[in-house]
Amino acid sequence: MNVQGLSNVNLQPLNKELNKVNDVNNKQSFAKVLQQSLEHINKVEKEADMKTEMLAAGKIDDLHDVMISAQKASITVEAATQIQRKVLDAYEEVSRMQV
Amino acid sequence: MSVFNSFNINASALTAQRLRMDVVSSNIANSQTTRAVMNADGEFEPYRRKMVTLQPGSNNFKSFLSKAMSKSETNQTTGVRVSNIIDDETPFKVEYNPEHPDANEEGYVELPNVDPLKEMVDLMSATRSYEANVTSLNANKGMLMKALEIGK
Amino acid sequence: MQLFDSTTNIINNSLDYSTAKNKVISNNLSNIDTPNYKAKEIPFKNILSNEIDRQISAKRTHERHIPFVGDNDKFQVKTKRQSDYNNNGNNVDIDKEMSELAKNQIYYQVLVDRLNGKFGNIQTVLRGGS
Repeated sequence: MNVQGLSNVNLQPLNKELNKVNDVNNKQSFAKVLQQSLEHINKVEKEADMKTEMLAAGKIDDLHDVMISAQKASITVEAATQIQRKVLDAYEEVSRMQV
Repeated sequence: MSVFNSFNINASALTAQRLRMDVVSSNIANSQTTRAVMNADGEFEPYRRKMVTLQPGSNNFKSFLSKAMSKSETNQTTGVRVSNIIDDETPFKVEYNPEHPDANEEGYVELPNVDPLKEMVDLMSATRSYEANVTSLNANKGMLMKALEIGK
Repeated sequence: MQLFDSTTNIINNSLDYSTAKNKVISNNLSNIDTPNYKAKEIPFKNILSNEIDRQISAKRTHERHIPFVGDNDKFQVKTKRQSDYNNNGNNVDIDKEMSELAKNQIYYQVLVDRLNGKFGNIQTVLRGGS
């Protein structure tokens, strides 16, 4: 049986990706994205809180408005915590990896 | 509380319709009353049929003020209110009954101008309006309760 | 560390208002046939302004002086004296009371729902999504 070598495998695209990961600019943009999403969560939460306070003060016209923004806030927080958990899981998985 | 604006509107209508029913009851109960009020000459007058007049609740000072202060007309619906209970000025019914203590010299008695037929029609109308408002109020409550279930 | 924000506090106060109002409505409804009974109500005041009012309450120079009105009780119960609704001097309007009851019920439920939502959110974060 004739076994052929793997000499003609093109590793060029993989190297490119590795270079991208090491790029300093991309690291900064991840921090930025994290910051932005946290700010977004905060904003949604604050909006739901504001609507709840207005409802308690009797200044709201539509009840469903309050409920929907509240659900938006709670789902956003839930999604954020799930993503955080998944990221940590992935990190642990990688750190346990035999090199 | 503006969430419950429609509740207030329906509640005002319920109160008004129940007052209409009360007035109908009063009319029927007094359909034979010959000594309701004493007139200026010191003679008794029979009971006069009462009628309820309704007007939109927004016809008051507060709503005119808020209308003048804000351009929008959206919150001007404030239900209904009873403006007056007025007397029916149609002439009294006259019956020949000389034995009656309130009969005049010719033996005629003036009886109230209450027509039971009219009263029954009024009563039915008030009842149906009341039911319609209860239905509307319940529908509104159901909507709000459903809104509470958003996300459950 | 403050775990609960001002919104939780406001909801708490609004629930207090709702409970007090429920008591007044029940009282009115149970006295619907009591001669000369006058309906009572708790005027809806902005809970927020209520809070602010309490923070700048009038100062008593001696603790045994008579407290100022509204110092002790959170909500003022008002009696509607000017109207008569019945021959026996009673002025409870059952339709109004029933609709107030329905309103109050929904108001209470919304606030409880929102309070649950707020606590649920904090718990979600504390448990870290697991």
